[in-house]
Amino acid sequence: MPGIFDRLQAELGDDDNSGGVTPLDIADLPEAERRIMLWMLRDRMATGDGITIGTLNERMPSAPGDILAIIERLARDGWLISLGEPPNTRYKVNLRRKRGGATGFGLWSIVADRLNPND
Amino acid sequence: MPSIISVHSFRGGTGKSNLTANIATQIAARGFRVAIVDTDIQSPGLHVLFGFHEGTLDASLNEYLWGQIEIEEAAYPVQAIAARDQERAFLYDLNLWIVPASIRTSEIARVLREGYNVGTLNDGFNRLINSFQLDYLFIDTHPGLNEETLLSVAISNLMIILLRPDQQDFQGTAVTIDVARKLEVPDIRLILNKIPSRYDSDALIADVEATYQAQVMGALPLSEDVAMNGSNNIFSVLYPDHPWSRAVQSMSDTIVTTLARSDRGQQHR
Repeated sequence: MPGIFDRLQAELGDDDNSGGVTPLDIADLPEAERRIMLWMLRDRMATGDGITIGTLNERMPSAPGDILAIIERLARDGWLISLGEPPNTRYKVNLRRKRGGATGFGLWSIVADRLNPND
Repeated sequence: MPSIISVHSFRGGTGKSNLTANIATQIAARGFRVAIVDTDIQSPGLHVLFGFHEGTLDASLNEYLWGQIEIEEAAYPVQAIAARDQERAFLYDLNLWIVPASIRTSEIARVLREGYNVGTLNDGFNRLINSFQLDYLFIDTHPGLNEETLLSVAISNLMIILLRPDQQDFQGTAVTIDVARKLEVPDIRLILNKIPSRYDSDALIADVEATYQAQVMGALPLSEDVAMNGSNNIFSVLYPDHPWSRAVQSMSDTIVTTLARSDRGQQHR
């Protein structure tokens, strides 16, 4: 029987092929990967322009020893976006786009058209 | 260090926007720099409490998410409202910014139809913190769990969950707390709201704390006076001696103290 997280994940759309991850995906990662992903999601530098492995090592408290291998694996698997060229490659979390909804489209478009015909 | 506080409830109608506006205003009145972002894009409501209406909202979070403007352009300083609205003159000295979601039907329709980039939302939060040198960023979330809510939960220093004494709220809150714990939110606090006078509040708090293993930060009575205010203004500032307002003031102090303690703890580590 599927658990609550499986149901939530299904609600968020496992069938979405647009790429990227949701925080729920991150919650299911093994501990070292999860710690890095959550830290990168919360760190202001990592959120904005992305962060290099060197800076991540300096800033992240108790960074895992094999951080280079973990980051490369996360980037390869689509959890992180790589920006720039080595050795200055920066990484940031690849958050999945919020999907539009077919139900919302029909209902809200009709309401919008009726209320604001010139919009 | 600036703190991000997400205010969430599993179901609608818990009084989330009203309480967020009141707590954020109280904290700003204590001299802190505060912003509130209304991420309830499907059913925005925060703007009403600060006296905005369609005619006074030129820019919103929606335009930022579509790449049309910078997030700072969607942030309204409440001083601007105070200058033109005598009933909100108390906002004049506050360093408080509001980022409303659009209330135009066509723009709500568009965001529902097209979605948006959740990473852009996270960038926007951090831009606000940097640009306005914020001490606290409040995120007023959409009820239930969706992409923007999960993001808000994941990046929070403190997550406040509102619930009423209602079985549906109780069950939904259990789900929300499970998610927050899985996302390692540093601090989760509950607020019981709209408690009918026949309830024994202390017994209810003890029961809720034992059930969720999370601290109840405050318990607010079902108040006809607050209901009569009808989200027209910031009740706790208009009526500072009202029991509801006193409870809000106390919760605001708790938030400041708790986050300062947590910040000191992190600096020592």
